[in-house]
Order: sequence, then C-alpha cells, then structure tokens
Amino acid sequence: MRFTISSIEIENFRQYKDTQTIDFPFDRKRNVAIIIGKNGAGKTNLLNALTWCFYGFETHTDYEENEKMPIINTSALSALKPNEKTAAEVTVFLDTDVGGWCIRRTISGGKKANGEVFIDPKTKLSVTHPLGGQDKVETGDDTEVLINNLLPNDLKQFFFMDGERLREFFNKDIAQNIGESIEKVSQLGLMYKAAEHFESLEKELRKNVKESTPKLDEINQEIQDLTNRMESLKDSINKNRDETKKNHQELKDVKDFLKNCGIEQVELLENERQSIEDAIKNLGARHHAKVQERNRYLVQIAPFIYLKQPIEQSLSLMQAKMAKGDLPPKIKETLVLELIEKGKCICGSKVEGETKKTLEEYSKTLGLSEIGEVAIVGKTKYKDIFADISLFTQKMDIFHQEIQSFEDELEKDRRRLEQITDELKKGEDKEKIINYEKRRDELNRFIGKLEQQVKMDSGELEEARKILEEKRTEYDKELGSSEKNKKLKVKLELVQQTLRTLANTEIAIKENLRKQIQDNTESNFMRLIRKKGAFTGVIINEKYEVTVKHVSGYNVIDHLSAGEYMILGLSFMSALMNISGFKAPVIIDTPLGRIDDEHRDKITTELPVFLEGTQLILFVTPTEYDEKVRTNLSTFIQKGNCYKIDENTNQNESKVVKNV
Amino acid sequence: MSDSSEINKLIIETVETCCDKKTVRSLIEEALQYELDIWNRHILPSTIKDEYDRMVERVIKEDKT
Repeated sequence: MRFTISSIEIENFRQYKDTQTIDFPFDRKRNVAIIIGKNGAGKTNLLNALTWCFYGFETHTDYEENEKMPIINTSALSALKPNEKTAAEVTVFLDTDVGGWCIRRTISGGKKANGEVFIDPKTKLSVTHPLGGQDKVETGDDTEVLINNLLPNDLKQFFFMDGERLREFFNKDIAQNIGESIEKVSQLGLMYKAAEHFESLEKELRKNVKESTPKLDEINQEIQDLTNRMESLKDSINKNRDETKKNHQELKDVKDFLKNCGIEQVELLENERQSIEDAIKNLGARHHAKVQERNRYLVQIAPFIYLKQPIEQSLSLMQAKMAKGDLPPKIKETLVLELIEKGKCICGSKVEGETKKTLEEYSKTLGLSEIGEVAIVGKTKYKDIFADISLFTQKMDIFHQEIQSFEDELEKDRRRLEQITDELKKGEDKEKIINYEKRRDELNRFIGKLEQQVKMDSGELEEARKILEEKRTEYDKELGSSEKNKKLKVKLELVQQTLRTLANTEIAIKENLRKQIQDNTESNFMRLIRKKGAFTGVIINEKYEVTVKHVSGYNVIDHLSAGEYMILGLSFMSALMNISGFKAPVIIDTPLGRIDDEHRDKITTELPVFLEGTQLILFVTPTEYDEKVRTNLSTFIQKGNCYKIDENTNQNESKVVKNV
Repeated sequence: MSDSSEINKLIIETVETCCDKKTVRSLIEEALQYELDIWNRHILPSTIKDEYDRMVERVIKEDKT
C-alpha cells in the first residue's frame, strides 16, 4: 500500500513542548518538504518522534544521551504538582490508497505524592484506518501488525534514513551490512518461519508412525541426531557471526583511536598502515586473479604439451603425403560414389558401361581422400597448436614474472606493516599504544579464528544436509513397505519436497535480489555521481563485497569522498526501496552534511526527480540550506512545505514554525 | 523511481521456477500467507503445528479431487 504523511502532531515529546502540528502537502512533482534546524535543535528528534510513533522506539539517537532524558518534555514534567499527570504523544496522519489513517502513540508520566517523577514504562498505541466504509480504531495487538503491513519495522531504515549512517554504510562492514539488508528486504523471514514449522511438523509426523520396524527406528534416530547437530551448527554459526561483527566494531574503534590519538607520529603511522592494508587487499585480489588466469591457461595448453610428439608425427605424415601429391585430393570420393550409384551425371549424361567401370576403378584409389581432406583442415589447426606450444615457455615466464612481482609487492607491504607495529610501540605514550596494539592483534586473531570456525561449521552443515536428505529417502522407502503407513508417507513426502523447495527458493531469491540490487545501485550511482567519467560501474559479488570500478580498473570503494559515499548509500537504499515493493515516504536527516558543493548541487537537483512520486522530507541545517540549494529545490517544494525549528533562549525547547 | 513488484510476488515467482509440483507450490503459498497473517503475533506452537497439519491434509485432498 502506498502512503504519504499528511501531517504530524507532536505533544510534549522531548524538546517539543505543548502541541505542535506540521502539515506536509504533497504533489507527485512537488514532492519535497524541508525542515531547517541547527545542530541539536531537534531535527533528529522529529525523525525519532516518527519511528517512536510507528514502532515504539527511537532509532536515530545517541542512546547514552537520550536515555538520560525522559521522552516526556522535562519542562512539562517539572511544572506538575504532586499527584499530577501528563503525557507525551505523537500522532501521524497518513494518506493511503484506501483513505486516511491515523497512528497515535502516547506515554504517560507524572509526579508521585512525594514529588518524585515517574514515567509509565508502557506506551499506548492506536491505529485508525478505513475498513468497510467506516473508520476502525484498533488498540490491541493488531495495531503493530497493521503498521508492519504498512511499512515493516525491518525495512524502516531504508525509508527513514540518517544521513550520517548512510555515509558510513559503505565505509565499514560493507558485506555484512548488505547481506543483512538483502535479508530484510527479501522478507526471507517468512520463508525461514515456514521452513521451521514444516520441520516441526515433519518430526511430529514421524512420531505418528503406526507400525514401526527396528530399521525405521534406527533411521529415525539418525535423522533426529542429524537434525540436532544441524541446529547446534546453525546456532554456532550465528553466534560466531555476531561475535565477528562485534570484534570488527571494536577493531574499528581501536583503529580510530590510533588514527585520532593526538600523537602526530602515531596518527601518521596508523594512516599509513591502513592504506597499506587496503593496498594488500587490492594486491591480494590481483595476485589471486593472475594465478587463476595462469591456471586456466595451463589447463588449456596441457593436453597439447603432452601430445606434442603424436601431433608432430601427424604433421610430418601429412607433409609427406602432400609432397607425393596424395594430398589434397583432387576429387571427392563421395562425389565419385554418388555418380556410380545414381548412374547419372549432373549434366544429364548417363553413367554406364566403360564410364562407370573407369569411375569404379578410380574410386578404389581414393581410399584416404576423405580423411586427407579432414587432415588438410586440421593441418592449419596443427600449425596454430604448434605456435601456441612454442609460446608456452615465454607465456609462462610472463605469468611467473607478474605473479612474482605481486608477491614481492605484498611481501614489501607486509614487512612495512611489521615495521609500523614496531615503530608504534617505541613512540610517545608507548604503554597505551602497546596495549592498543596488543588488542588489535588479539582482535585480528579472534576474527580470523571465528571466520575459520564459521567456514568449518558451514561446510559440516552442508554435509549434514546431504546426509539428512539420504536418510529421509531411506526412511520413506522403509515406511512405504508398510500398508498402514501409506497415508503418513504421502504427507511426509509432501512436507519433505516442500522443505527442499523452500531451501532452493531461498538460494535463488538471494541471488536474484543480489543481481537486481547490483544493477539498480549501479544505474542509480552512475546517474547521481558527479564524476561520471571517473567510474565504470558498481559490482556486488556473491559474498556481498562491493567494488566501485574506477576507469583505471582499480576498485576504489575504500577511497571515495564523503559525497561519493553518500551517493553510493543513496543509490543502494533506493535500490532496496524499489525492490522491497513498499511505497512509503523517504525522510533523510542531514543528507547534505559534510559533502562538497558539487555533490550537494547534484543531490538537490537529481534526487527529487529520481524519487518523483515519492514524498521526500529533508532535514537540513541553515548552513546546508544555502542560496544554491534553495534555488535548486524551489521547483520541488510546494508553498508552505518548508519549516524551521526555533529554539527558546535557553536552547532547551524547540518549536517548528513555517519558514517564510 | 519506477514502481516495482511486490516482494511476495518475487518469492512466489521464484518458488514456481524452483518447483514444478502444483501441490508443493500451493502448500508453500498457503504457508507463507499464514506466516504473514501471524507475523509478530503470539501464537501457541501447538496451534501453528495443527494449522500446518491441516494445510498439508487440505492440499493432499485437493490434489486427489
């Protein structure tokens, strides 16, 4: 269902005291609304108000900061007398394909008799929506289901975005982020649940076997053991993946600390180390590609190298035949035989008597001609093959040189990394740096071990899956021998086929989505990027690793500017939005921060067109909303669709007012 | 941005390409619809198991008729 936000009403929510209403008139072409606010004035809390109203929590927040403050406006709370109550409330009015919706969430709080402030831990949610020509108000469990049907909680981040996080998206843990996003957008969760429930049913069905045999019991036990082992492997894989993610985050923190520790020498060395690590990654990939190219060449040329002698003999035999005039044949044997058989020439003359006899004798001398003809064609190929064989040593030398040069460079870089580690440990504030260095090594080791464990577990899981399939077939065969279990067998077979199809569908969907997202991201990126001539494309491979291809052939994913990361993030999110099938407004908090003028120009002229028909609400700072941006966006903003956030003199309360 | 197909359609289309058995396809469709209906709801595992059993019975019965 398509929806747009027609208005938001906020009451006593964080710094927004009393009731404030923001209307968002919408038009397909004039699809942009702007909210201008200084840093800290409350832009992000407006986005939080929205996610809190929909899903009950604030996603775009610095938790440490916001957790200290109650959601209910603190001035409203402190103005209460003992035993008085107040509430914070956010109401979002929506226009949908089927009529107007209203989503309202309230949280209560107040002062106890002793003056102590309390906040009710539970929030109240109500959804009013059109049903059967009337407005229906839902307040129970169904409210969350209704909102999830409108825009699932898992997908909200692709519509309600934080500019800063969008820039960061491609900056760290890319593969994991992309994998998780594809998982969310594909709603594979539904399939996992269905598979889980079919598996339980399968177990239950086996328990209902009416006439068991020792063999059936034995196989059933094996199936049980295998399923249990698979469960524990899945748990271990998930646990280790989570652990790896945490370690990657800590590793990033350690690297960031070293990069910004304030000791110039350390910062320089850490920066150098990170560029060397990037270079090693790049060189490693190129080295791997070259080794593969050499191996492919070897597989292709190897049969000819081994058959060199017989090929030489064949060629000299052909050359001798040619010298004798046996090759090439003057007349085709098939033609002579055809003339004899048909008894008639193409000119109409009859082939009979002496003529026929002469031809019959001549045909006997043409025994090898057909083979000879093939050999003549083959001779040219033999020459090519010989040319290839003679180039073998030379080609292999080139391969070796290139591979060796990669290995030398890698070795040089690795040695430099070791030197950097030593230098870091010798410098200023060395104890602290040594500790960080130790932690860095530890984390790298942990990550390596965890990744290895995940690889091993995944391999074992795959193997267990295959054995399980065999055992199930064996079980069905044994089950089929009993008349009493026939009905059960039909059910079991259907459930098993369903489970197999679900597993295959999961793989196919992921692959299908990856390709679609890659193509959409690439076309979005190439459209929005400023330096069109500098990039040739974006690739998201099977492992969800992203390559941004530079014209020089290098992958520059680790070397993009803040603006380019923003464009890449927007391109990817748009691809996901598109594929998710949900039609919701796109709200971006500070999309124009920390990016250069040209990209700012590009985003403000292209994005509204790019998202034509989709409501686009942008939160910007006054500095970002400069003359150029204002002019660019003026064609896309309806009158009255521009607001500013005014702070009071103490800068602890804010009001949203029309920006005229 | 162009309009796109619903994600569930993609799942159904992929199921169709992955399996040519009508019974399996309709069982998956029914199960996914059921999962969508009970998404985020607290349903007793025994209720879910019964519903799945009913689904399987129904599909087999429909296949016979």
